[in-house]
Amino acid sequence: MLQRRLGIIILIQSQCSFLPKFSIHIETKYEDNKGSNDSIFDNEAKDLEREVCFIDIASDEIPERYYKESEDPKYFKSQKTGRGQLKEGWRETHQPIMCSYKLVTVKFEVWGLQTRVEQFVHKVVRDILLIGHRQAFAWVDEWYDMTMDDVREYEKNMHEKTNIKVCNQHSSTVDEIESHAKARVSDQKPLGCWSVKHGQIITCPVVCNFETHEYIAVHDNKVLRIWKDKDVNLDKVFKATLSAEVYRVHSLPHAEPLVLFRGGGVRTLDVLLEAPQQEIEDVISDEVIKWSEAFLEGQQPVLIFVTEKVSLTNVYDSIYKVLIPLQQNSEEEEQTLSKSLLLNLSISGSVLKGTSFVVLDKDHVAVLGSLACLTIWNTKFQTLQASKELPLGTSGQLWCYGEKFFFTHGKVLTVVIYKCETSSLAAAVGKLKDSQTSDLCSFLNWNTLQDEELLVSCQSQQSAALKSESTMTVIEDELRQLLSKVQRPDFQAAIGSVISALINRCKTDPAFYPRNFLIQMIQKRELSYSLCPDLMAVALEKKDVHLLQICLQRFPDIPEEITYACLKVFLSISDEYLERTDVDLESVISYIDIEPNNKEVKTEVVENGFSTELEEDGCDVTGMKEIHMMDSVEFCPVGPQKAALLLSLCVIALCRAKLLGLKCFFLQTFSLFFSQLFLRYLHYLYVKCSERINTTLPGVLSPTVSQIMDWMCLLLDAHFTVMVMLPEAKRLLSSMHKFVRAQVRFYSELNKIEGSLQELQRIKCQTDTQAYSIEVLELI
Amino acid sequence: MGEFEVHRVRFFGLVPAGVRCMAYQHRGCRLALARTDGAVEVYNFAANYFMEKAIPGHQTRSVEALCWAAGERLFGAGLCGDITEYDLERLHPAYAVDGFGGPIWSMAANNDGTQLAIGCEDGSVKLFQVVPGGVQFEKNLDRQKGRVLCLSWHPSGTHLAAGSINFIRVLDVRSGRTAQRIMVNYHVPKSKKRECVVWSIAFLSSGTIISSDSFGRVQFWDWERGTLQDSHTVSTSAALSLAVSEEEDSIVVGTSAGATYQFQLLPVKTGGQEKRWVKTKPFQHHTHDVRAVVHTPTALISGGLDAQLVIRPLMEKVQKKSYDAVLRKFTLPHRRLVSCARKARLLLFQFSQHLELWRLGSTNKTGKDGEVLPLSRMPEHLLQLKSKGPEHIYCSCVSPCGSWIAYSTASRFHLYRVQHEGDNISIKKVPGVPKLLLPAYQLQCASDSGRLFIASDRGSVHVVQLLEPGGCKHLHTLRPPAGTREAVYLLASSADGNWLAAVSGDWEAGLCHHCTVPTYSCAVTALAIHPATNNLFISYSDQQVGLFEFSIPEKQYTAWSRSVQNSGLHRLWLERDSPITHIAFNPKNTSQILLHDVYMLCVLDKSLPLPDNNALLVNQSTLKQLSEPARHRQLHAFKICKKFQPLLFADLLDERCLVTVERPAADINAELPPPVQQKKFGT
Repeated sequence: MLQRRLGIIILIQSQCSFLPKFSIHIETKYEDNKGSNDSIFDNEAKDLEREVCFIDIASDEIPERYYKESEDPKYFKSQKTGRGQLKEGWRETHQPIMCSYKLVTVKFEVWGLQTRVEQFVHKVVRDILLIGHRQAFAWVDEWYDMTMDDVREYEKNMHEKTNIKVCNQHSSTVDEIESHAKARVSDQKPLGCWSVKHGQIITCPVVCNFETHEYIAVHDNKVLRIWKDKDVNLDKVFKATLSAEVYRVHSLPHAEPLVLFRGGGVRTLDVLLEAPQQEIEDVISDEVIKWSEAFLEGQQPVLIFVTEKVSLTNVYDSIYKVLIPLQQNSEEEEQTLSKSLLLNLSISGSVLKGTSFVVLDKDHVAVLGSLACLTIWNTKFQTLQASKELPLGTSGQLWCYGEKFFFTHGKVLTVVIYKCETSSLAAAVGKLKDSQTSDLCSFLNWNTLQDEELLVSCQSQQSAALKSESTMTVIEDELRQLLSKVQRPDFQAAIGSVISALINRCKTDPAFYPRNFLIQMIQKRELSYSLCPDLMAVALEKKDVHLLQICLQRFPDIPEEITYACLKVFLSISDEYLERTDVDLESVISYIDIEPNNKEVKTEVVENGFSTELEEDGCDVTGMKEIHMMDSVEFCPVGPQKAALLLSLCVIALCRAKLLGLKCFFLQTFSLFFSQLFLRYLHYLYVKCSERINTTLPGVLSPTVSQIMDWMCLLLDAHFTVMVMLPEAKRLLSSMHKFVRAQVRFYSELNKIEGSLQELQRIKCQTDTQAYSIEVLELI
Repeated sequence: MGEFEVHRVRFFGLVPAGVRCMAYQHRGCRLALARTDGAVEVYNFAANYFMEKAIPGHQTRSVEALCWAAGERLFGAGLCGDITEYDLERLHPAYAVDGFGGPIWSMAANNDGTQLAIGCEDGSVKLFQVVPGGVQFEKNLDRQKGRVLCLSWHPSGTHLAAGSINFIRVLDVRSGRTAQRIMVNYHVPKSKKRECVVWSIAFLSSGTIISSDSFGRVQFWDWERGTLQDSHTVSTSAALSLAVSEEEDSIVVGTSAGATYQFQLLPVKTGGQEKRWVKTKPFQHHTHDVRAVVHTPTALISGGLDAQLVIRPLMEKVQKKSYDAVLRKFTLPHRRLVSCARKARLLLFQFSQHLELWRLGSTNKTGKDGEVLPLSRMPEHLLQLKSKGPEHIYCSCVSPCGSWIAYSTASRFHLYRVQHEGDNISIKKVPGVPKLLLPAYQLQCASDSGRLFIASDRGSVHVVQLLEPGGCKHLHTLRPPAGTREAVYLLASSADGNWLAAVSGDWEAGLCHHCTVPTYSCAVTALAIHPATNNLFISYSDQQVGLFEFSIPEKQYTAWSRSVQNSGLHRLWLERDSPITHIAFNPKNTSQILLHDVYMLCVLDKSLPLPDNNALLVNQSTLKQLSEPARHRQLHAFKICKKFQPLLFADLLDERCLVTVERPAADINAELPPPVQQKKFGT
């Protein structure tokens, strides 16, 4: 049993420090007295100045926004302990009493701001402590019976809940709201506060009827409450008990509020209030409404909702559209209340959770599903128009504003521009040309939203640049200037949008291709594949191998199909073409050299280390060509440029999943000739690797042995049976086999030597451990 | 000549302290070296790399940086927060000035040697003026958080580069402001960001700053723009030290993997103007961290935590491709750490803070050459004498009869009387030791154990009489007729007790109250007086001339010595560069003299002819295969044995008995902490 007693708090503040850091340090001691111990913290930091400050939980002022009558010690009376109603002068009369002594040390050493900030922090800490301790006293009934284990359990629960809350901050749960506060947005002060009786649960969000300025709430599923601003007590306002359970009340400007029942029935509020106990028909059977939304279409309010039906195998997801005409005649209304099944989505496997959707136009609906994909459906033809995978998961929130989707996934807010074609059968089955419905536009880091104005300025300038009919170089220069100006944390997002805009233009205008600028941007190492997914596609199309090489080296997240496409392009491209391009040869230059006279020059250059110079260094490249002429097993089977390209591919880290994905591609379409060439190159690399004692290739971006082995295994796995049949490939395979076997033998020999060397050393040590001996020495 | 019974002693557990920092004085060709235990040594490169001065360490005085300033003054600074000037004449710290910035991590003197800059723990860089007789605080430069681990002056003296954790600062000396701040880690992706310690820095006159850091990178920065010009990764572990040649066209970098690398500024194309720093030569001489490197005009010098000082001559800078171009390694000090009581067959080992007394074993068998004889008595560790206080021991000695032990630290002199009663041993401190001017630099007992000679500063020697049963009396102090400021560091007394020879730091070998040996411009490494003939034997660090025999009664060089000088010594003998550290005589045969250095033991027989340049100098193994008459034709004066290496001490106990004290490198390595793990065989 905890015997906590609460009384006064004394806040002792001290300031001043010479450490240039910001820190708040609070030390607490509890004593059963009235705050009479002045020397409780004398052991700590005696030399510092302190200010002693008494806090009285009963009579000190607290900020108005934190005030709750139930937590005011002046009025609170504990049921279990009988403590409470701390009236003026309680400190002298009340028993038991405990004082919590706090030593608050605030350090903030920034010249000019120190005193002010420290004082401010002291003030804030004081408020927090005051409120906290008031609550601790006011909640005495809740914790009074707790044992220490209970306390720990409670702490654990709260910890978990806090984590959940912090992680899903965007999706607040509606059901838990027990009281509703109407707040003015500007100053966050509640204008009014109402609460239902204890035990009652508000089951759907409170809405405001814009016509009458009344608030409508439903508690305990069936009880409808309607009140106005001036009402104080919720128990005394209008109440109507309905016959069916209400799912949600929707309020629309310039229209009657609509009440949606769990059974799918819909009534306007007026109709419902005329006869609260009227029968409500069930539109849907054994399905559960998951989501609903109301809006005005023309003059008609439209309410749509999503239901979910759990059967043994499938989860059906249906979208109903309920049309409610705005007509006064109630009889007619019932007749025109028509519902039709618009769309039936079936998702196998998992329960639809956290879905949301918006209606785009009269024929299109966008659904953000729990399976982490955004889909756009045509309701007229029931076809999927577009979809986008969101691997990071979504929180199920989707907004639509001005032809743009806004949705969160992971930690990112994504904005997608969409465009709906007029609904036609051709468009629905995807035969219409240029039916680009979804197009990733920009990609914002969640943390950088504050700096939107910068991004906007970037984009506006960039778009201005793009619109003007200037030449490519002008655009490049302008962009470069623009980018040199901004060196901000959200630089990445800005670059991403700029690049994707550029790529879009590249797609539409084949002559436009700001290659140098792109290369420069990629080399800054701030891009990734997901920032500009079309970049590599465009580069592949244009066969810009240098750009691809840099992309492969720089991007951390290249999907398998692009990797595969790169590999194919690299292998199929002719050496003559490659010689005309400038490929970064740094990675291969140090070991594709056989002629001794070239060797010295090259190693020196490599020692020098810079790749940019190497590209211009023509003599080296010609040297490489000569080597290439001598085709032999010992020599590299491909040209140096191609070798460099392939090498950059090999360096990509292959995880297991990626390997499997790549293998599929290989199995499907990879040409046998290419695979043979690639395998020969890998073999060559492996041989080169093994030549060195530490089994790494020279150069910065060189693959490890295991990476080479991974690729080899991948190729062999995919094509082994066919390769064995081909005579030339057979030779390669057998030579590889021999080589690997020799390696294994070599290493086992090395191990043996190592073992015997150790043995020798041991023996030698034994003889040497003799620290003293008498020997005979003859000098002649 | 005969057979010797050699007592091979390998139980002297000396572990030399690692090299912490070095400073090279270009004008005097001297290298100052500080060890991790606070000891400071000065090597004279002109005198065959002889360790000319040694200032023993101190437990609380660590030295983090050394520099020469104002001519030949040596300053050190360390983690105790003081700047210390070393008195190289009296071989002890002259004074210490508090830097008031916490521990000092780095110190640098400007080109003129008039100012010292120190980098402190609290991030401040302070300037001190070097004034006669001291240093004077001049000013504080801009302080920023983070200890200043290295400092380098711009050759013009206007700017200072300071390396710290994660950044380099360039400070304007006149205004004291930070002129540039370079983040070393800027280009590393955030995910890989670790703390990057800039271990060493160099500021070139062209405005290039070279830094070596804990990522193993050597980076070249443009200080005005703060941009990276060039970056070389030399090691996976830290690059700890860095030094630039005077012409600024070559640098040497030491890494914690024990490797050193040379970088050179070479033209990109032959004949072209554009030059680039290129990693040219890797060396792997050390097993542990290379904490200090120095680039002299002709050699790369590196010192590591494995206590080795390695001098690697640059082949292209050495004129003749001869012995000058040979790699030199110094691990053991050129000082006598072992003293031997011949009669009692005791050995006294001097460690930095304690002494060990051992009794040699014995045998009753005889054997042929190379045989290991069975022991009838094992060697015995008799006693361990711990020195009190933080000071390290300067010198020690045991009397020939083994009953007196004396040692001296910087401030105290101790004399003990050891009593042997059968197998029991008891030790008693001698009371009433005379108050002498300390420290004592060398102790020597007369051969009859009646007197103790204490070498002191200003060329003086104190004579103390040892009284039975455990007392002493200060007899008198011998002072050289011509005053000198240097301390005496070598002593030799004659067997009959009439003569005493002393060598002081300015290389003057004097015979007290008698005469001065003609001065020779080289350091004396060993001297001894022959017990029978009273001839003084002197060996100099300069092997070109090497050995002298000086007849004390006649006050002139002996005829043998003159003939040696006239005919010249053997070529190979002259090319040796390790100094002879001890000379002993065969009591029964006046013509035999025992000499030794680290690598060899030599018995010099004056009665035999000197070898000429065509003869084989090290000829023992060939002689053994020859027949008796053929042998006689081949015999020469130098009988060299290289069996015992590395040799710390060798002495003749009697005419047939030798004692050698070795300290194998493997034993030293076994006591060092494991080095940085390196991959082998692709395992």
